[in-house]
Amino acid sequence: MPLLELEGVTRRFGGLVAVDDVSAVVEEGEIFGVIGPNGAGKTTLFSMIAGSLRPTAGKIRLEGHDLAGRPAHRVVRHGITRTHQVVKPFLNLTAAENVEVGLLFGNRRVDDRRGEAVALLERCGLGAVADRVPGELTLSQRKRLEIARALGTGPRVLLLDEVVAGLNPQESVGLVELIRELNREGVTILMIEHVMKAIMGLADRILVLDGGALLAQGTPRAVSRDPAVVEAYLGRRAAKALEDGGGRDA
Amino acid sequence: MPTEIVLPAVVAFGLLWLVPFVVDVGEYYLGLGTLALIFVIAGLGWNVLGGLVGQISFGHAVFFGTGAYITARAAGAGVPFAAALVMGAATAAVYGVLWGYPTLRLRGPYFAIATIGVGEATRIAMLNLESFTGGASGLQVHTGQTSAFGDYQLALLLAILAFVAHVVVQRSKFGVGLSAIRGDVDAASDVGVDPARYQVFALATSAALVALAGGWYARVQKFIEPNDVFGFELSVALILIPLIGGLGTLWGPVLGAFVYIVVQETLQANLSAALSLGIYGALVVTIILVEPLGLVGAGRRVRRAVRRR
Repeated sequence: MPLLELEGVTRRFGGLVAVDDVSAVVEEGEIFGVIGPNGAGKTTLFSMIAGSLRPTAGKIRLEGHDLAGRPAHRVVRHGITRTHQVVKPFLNLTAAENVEVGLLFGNRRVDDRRGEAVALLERCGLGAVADRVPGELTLSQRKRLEIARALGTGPRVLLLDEVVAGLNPQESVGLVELIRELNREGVTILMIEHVMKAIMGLADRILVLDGGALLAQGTPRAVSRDPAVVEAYLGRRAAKALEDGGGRDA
Repeated sequence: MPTEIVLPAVVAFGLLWLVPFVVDVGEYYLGLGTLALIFVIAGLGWNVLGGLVGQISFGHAVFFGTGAYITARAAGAGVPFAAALVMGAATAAVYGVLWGYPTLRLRGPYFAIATIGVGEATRIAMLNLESFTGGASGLQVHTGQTSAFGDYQLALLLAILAFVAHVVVQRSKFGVGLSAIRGDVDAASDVGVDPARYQVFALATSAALVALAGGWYARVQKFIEPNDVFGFELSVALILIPLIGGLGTLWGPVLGAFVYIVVQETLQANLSAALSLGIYGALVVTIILVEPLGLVGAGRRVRRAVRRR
């Protein structure tokens, strides 16, 4: 049985179909990329999986168990959580306290919350700023904090919405490395990304959305060769560059 | 409870307990002290929603009024006063859940505006519900034999109860959830906090405490009137108190209530009502600009400065 299964997931806003009948299967342990032009419905799709938005139609199954339409705070307990494109730290709490909220309300039972929070921050490279408030952190640190807080809930599936976007090359390399490590430790990752180099190098498989509908699905190499994808999203030159730079085949 | 809370609390409430034994303060100042304690309770109550969750209510007088009237009516019907107070608090909590459920999904100014609507609608309804409230001519409260001294002591006990309730809320899992909601409501639900349920609980707790204050107010004033206990001025006072003392802090509403009562008495004795409102406005602007955490914030600054020396 696949870990996560989307079946005909659809979301309408009035007359607009933001996500149109998307079906996909994510296997345990995968890094699964979601790409597409702006307005393609990527974040809307994530919101539905994470429970912050109710699908108009369709099923979202975790190990065969339909979670579609359950609110976010319940979906978390099944082991699915997300980070936000625009980071949303609790500005009134320190970094460690941010993570402690995840530990307290998530999926795990932890005795030493403070200790575990600091350990998770260290895991994400934030050990030195555990007692700082998010207002004092850099964007890169706040993105890592968002991940640490999400990890606190004990996710099996982690949805990362453009974590690499807005970082300088050095910072993105570090973050890509962190994502790869977390994945190796057993967290299944779905990620939306505009930074092609990051996602092509990282993802096992990629789903391409365009205008809310599924345009293509497959390995990074196959997707970047797909004429429809090249036409709608990548552009010929970028596709060529990716081809030469080499994505990773599963 | 950690000593950094217990120690100052024992000192502060201990002093409030002892002063009338040591000094002959007289009935007027004892009454003023009781009123200040009533506002400590109400301020702590408002703070549970306004400070801990960050949902600013301009309508909390509805709970004060509910507490005052239910307590007064129940006591008048022969219910023991303590039970009447509990009835008032419970009714207010239920009323809070009723309008909180639809309005608490609004945030910031939208929630604040909704609370003004609820507050005014309730006041006008109560003004017209003459059989229950006595309308504009008010209601005489029958309490039996009471003494200013006893009322002060019991008000102090209720204030301690409210203080402990505030601490318990703040330090529990519930309180952590509330501060997450205050930080970011979406992120809070992404890590497993149920914002709707937590906010409604917070409002119910807040309502019960404010109603307790209202019930005690009815007892000591012996006379209540909808325009007073359901009034917009009172709702504003309930915001001013934690704001002066320090929004979202434990000691803020305690300090703020005493400052409020002192300022209020001085202003009322010497100035017109309109002018005193103007002075409050200036006070609020100054606090927000200079020290958003009020007296508690100023205190923290002083302490940090002293430590650095």
